[in-house]
Amino acid sequence: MLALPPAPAPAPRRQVLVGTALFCGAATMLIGAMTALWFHFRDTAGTTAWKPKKVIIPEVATNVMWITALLACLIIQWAVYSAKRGDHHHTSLAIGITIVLGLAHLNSQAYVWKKVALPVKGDTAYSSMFYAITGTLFALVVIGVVYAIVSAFRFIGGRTKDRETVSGLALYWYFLAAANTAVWFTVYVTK
Amino acid sequence: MTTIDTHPESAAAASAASVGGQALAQAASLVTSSDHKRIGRSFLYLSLTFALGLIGLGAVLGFERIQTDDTFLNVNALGQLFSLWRVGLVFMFAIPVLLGLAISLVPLQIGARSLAFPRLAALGLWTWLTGSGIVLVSYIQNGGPGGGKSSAVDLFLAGLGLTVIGLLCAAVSVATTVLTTRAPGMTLDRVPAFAWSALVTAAAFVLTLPVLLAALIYLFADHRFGARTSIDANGWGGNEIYPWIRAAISQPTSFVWALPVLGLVAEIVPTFARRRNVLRAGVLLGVGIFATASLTGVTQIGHGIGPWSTLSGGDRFKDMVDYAFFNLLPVLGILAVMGAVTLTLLMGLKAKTLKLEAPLLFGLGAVAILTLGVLAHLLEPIADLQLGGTVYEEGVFFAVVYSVVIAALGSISYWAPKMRGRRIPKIPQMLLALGATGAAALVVVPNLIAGFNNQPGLFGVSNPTELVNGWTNEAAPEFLNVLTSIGHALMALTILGFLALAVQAFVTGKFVGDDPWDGQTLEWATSSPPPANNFVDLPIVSSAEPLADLKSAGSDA
Repeated sequence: MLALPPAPAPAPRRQVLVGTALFCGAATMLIGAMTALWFHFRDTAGTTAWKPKKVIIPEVATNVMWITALLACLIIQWAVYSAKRGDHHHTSLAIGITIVLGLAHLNSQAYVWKKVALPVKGDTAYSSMFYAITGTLFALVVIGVVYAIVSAFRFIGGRTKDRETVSGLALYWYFLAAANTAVWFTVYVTK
Repeated sequence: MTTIDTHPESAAAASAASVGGQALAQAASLVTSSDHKRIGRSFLYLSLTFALGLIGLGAVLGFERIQTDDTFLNVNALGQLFSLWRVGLVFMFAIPVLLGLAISLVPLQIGARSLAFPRLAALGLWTWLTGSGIVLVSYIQNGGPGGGKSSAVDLFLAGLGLTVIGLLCAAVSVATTVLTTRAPGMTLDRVPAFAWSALVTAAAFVLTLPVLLAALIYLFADHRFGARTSIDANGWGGNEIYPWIRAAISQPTSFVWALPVLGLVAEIVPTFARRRNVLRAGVLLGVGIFATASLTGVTQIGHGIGPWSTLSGGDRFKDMVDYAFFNLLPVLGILAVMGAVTLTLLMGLKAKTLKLEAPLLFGLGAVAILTLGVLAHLLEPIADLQLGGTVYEEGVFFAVVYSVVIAALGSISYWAPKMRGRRIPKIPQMLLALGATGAAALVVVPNLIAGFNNQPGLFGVSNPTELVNGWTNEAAPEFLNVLTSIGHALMALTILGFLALAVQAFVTGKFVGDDPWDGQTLEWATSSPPPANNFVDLPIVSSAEPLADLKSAGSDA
């Protein structure tokens, strides 16, 4: 067998960050397709009322959800900044707050579902799409919370130089904020 | 000294328990393995097993088409079997087989010690397998598009959703591997053609599969809880599902998952021509153009040339431009790859270095059938030809699927020495390569002709009775359906023959060394089969053909 000369150890190529970016790309297509479906159905509802009249969106809760997502962006950026400075106390604190904000977001979503109390069966696709699109975002936020918990454990467990995971986590939460904005605008603002 | 003899019955029981324990340990080891070679092989063998069953089903359905007076299968079941055939070939065979090949080979090709996120790829494998199993169970329960049982249709949607999620996990893993784990010195323009095509395909899956997933989530929510979409109205009500999933199982989306066929042929030809690829940039660019153009076509389905006589001068020009942009561009991509490959082949012929081997035949057969499909697709969007809804579309679809089958067999043939350390016998393989190409032509060409005769296809009817009536249509010659059926049966036999030959070679074949083909890329620089971490030393790369560099440096010295 021919032997190639050994190479030096490869430089790290940000595997977690690239993987997260690809996942965010896929999730963007998912949310994008769902908002497109929403607009398509709304457009083709014709003379039938798209949104059932009895449905009242609790806008305070939905707006707070959106603001929570934006706030999570700031907090996770704080985690990245602290990780770069080697300040693992603040990094852990920032990731912890992000987890709490994620859980608050999930709680708000559950509250919105309970408050709306919309039966899935209806004359238009509104109710199906409402649950499909908000449910998908809910699942994506759950993934974000789990990702943050895993990152926190790694960081608290001593991998304080593993800044790439924190950057990947931050990227995912930026994506969640963007996805949240799209869903908030589509489902709760333009309805 | 006290000797304690084991009672014979206890010994036998212990031995049986030990065998059972070993089997359990092996199963556990397979399920929890993060070795990319095992994950890739599992994808490969499982999807080929599915293919065998599905192509066998195709032969049965083909023979059903020949019978003009009556059907030997229940008419409603017939509609579901057609949809299982179609959906299965895409999600249980074509996409997973290519991802399996990429997972097992790409890390070796790019000099990586392992796959990026191997556990994600393993999760993808088992999620895909579970989803595929659920899809099959749903069909057995009278579900799927065309299903008559509401809960089974829901089960189909859930199973297909799981299948898509599994494939997405594998695609993310493959793309990340090529982007982040390449050997030192291997820039993206030095990546082997197959690895490049795997990257482009995986990226395309990341962009397209979530769109299907979104539709499936909506359909499931609506049908399961709302029943607004009457997808089980009259036994063929599942037809409502087709508009949602049709884009994923027809052209031009199908061209996207055929991309590795181009990568494979661009990989194999230089090896057997004993020449470096003279137009490497053309290959990389061609694969990129083919993918981009196909993806653009996915978003712009329907850009064809309308009925000529009804169009004004301006509309005719607009339709022609749209048609050229969305339909001719993929041809440009495939032509670039074919040009580079042909030039390399000619150089090998001129220098008399070309060696005819089975993988070369498989590769050329696959790309020939794919090119036939892509060229045939050019006629579909021309309204005046009235090919929409006919079996012409099925002909193009099978050109793509069978090019993937042939390429998968060719890949196993080419990389078997690397995967197993043993080579599959040459002459029987060459016969199988010719048989597979012939079988594909037998399926594709008669379907294209029958399309011109207006024989309806799956997407051109609103219920199975119309489909059956279409077979009795005098304009659809029975002879063509006979040829198609023979083609499907021959393809199933070819796969069966190849798998039997491969198993025999893997068990009893001779070891052939680490580099039996005199390869140019990194996978041939490690031992066969490769060690746990692929390479003892990480190789350094200074060109697209690092092993060829080393060999020429050795011969110069």
